[in-house]
Amino acid sequence: MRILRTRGRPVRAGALVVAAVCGFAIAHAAGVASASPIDIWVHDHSSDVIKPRPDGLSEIQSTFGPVCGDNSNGARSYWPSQDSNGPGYVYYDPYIGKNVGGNIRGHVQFDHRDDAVRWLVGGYNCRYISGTTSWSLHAWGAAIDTNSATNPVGQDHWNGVGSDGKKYGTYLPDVWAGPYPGHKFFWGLNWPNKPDPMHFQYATGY
Amino acid sequence: MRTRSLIVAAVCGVTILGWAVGRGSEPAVAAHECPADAGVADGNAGIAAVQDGRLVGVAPASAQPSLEANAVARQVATNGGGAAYVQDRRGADAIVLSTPDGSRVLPQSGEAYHPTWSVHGAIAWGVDDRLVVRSAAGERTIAGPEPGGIVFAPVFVGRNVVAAVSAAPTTAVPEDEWSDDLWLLRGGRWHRLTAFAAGTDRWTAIRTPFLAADGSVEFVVVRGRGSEDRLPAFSLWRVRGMRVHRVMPLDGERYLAGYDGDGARLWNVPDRATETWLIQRDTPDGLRTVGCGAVAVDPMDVPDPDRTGHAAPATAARPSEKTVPDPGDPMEAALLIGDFPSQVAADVVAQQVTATYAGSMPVDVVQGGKGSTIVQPDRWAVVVRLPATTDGSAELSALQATLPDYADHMWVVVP
Repeated sequence: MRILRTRGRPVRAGALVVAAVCGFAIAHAAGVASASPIDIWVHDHSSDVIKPRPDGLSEIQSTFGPVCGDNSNGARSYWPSQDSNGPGYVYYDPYIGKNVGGNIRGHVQFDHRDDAVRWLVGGYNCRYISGTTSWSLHAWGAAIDTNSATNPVGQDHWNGVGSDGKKYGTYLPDVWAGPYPGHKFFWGLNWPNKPDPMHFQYATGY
Repeated sequence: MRTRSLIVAAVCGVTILGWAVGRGSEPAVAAHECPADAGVADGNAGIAAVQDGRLVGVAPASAQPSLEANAVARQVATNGGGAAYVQDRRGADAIVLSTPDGSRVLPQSGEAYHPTWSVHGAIAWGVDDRLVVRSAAGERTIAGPEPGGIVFAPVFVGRNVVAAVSAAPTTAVPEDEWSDDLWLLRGGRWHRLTAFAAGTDRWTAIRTPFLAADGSVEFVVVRGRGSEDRLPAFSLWRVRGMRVHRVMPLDGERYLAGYDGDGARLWNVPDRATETWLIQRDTPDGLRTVGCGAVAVDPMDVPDPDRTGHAAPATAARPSEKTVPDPGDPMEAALLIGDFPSQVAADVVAQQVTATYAGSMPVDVVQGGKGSTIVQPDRWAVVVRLPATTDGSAELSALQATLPDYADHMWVVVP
């Protein structure tokens, strides 16, 4: 999803320029752009967006910086069914900002699969792993939980029932962690002895 | 008085044993992992610990059972005659008891935590939401006080046990720690010792309780908010009988590691740069590094075996045939300052932001609409579009420094 500009450079994507310019004109006349979806959205799977995924604590720290660090929650996007009351913001580290906010959030929305998302959705969270002195990857803003209420820690399968009660299979895990579209998150369900189906993290070996 | 003497004797015994063994055939610490001054002094604080993937300050390596593949030693405790530690495995863990009579590996049914010795030779540890007590009379498994809440870091106080108990996950806090309290197991019944405040955002953790020479239990309390991007506050607390009080705030992340022979506190302090736990001793001049190794904390240099699963992907089904394939068009990030209840409020900030960049960056005011992925409906925000080559983190920090009043209301977004 891209919003239309009130000022700045012209919209790309040749054949869609006319529609975009119309939208631009309307928004400009109103003095404000509406941050609502348009039918222009593309992946960006370049290395600028899907960056190297750290492996192990040392690489995690060198990639994401100090735990609970300044701006570990410095990126955000707006998600449907973020909590039990409805949509809300999810925060994460800017290192994965384009991948989460652009590729993944955009992918779900463009597919008209917002209803596949079911609360709770959470990202940055400065906390320990229970009973340990190890910090959760959420404390680096490097992990996202989705559909948590129906996919708790220890459950050995993915519950794909969305917020509308329909079955979406593994649509969401595919988007986060599947070989296609290849957003390269690691899925906690793949921890064989302690599955965590709600959990998607941009790191391994931790 | 007799109890106190026994405790002191045990502490001294542990210290002497560790010191002596640490100077035996087993080199205490790989020097390159420890600061040079600690290595020169000793390299090990005279207590048992895990360093560089192996035990130091305990029996020679030949007496230790070899770890299973992918297993990790952690949370080692000693008494006058032996050592106990967790053998953290994929799946259910084991407790290893190592005494002069030999070693025993005790498989557990789940995640094991923090073995501890009593002065009478009994040993206790946590397993998931239960406490296990093993003594000459046999082995008992005792359900914790909160179903689903893990029991960890037990400490014997005479024949009673003080343990930390972590509240079970909730729908609002589905994983990780949010609320710990100390409980006393006395006469087979649990009695709550603390009632720290915690909720969906504010949390309290208890770490590394140790029995002090005076019979009290000292422990570290960590309090924070999940949403805050700064380290939580650390403080030292003490419980004596049923009375609990805060001893002092701590100046950063550190955890108790025990006591030196003269009763001085030993601390585990993380050196994140080298993934090493320093052992530091309280002195009149402040903390002094006396060695390295993880005592009751978790080693940083080896991953949790439960979190080293294969990276098998989800199924390979394409989410939608309508999805536009990647055309190589670079994605642009933006800085968002918000949210504002009105366009007028956003316009005011937009003028400041525009002036900050002297007109060199495109600055927009956007309104959240149905389906917006960056602003909630009926709210306004200021958006600064960034070149496609940046992820926005540096620009975010720079703008926060320039406009500190809005620093907590700025994020990187993808419009």
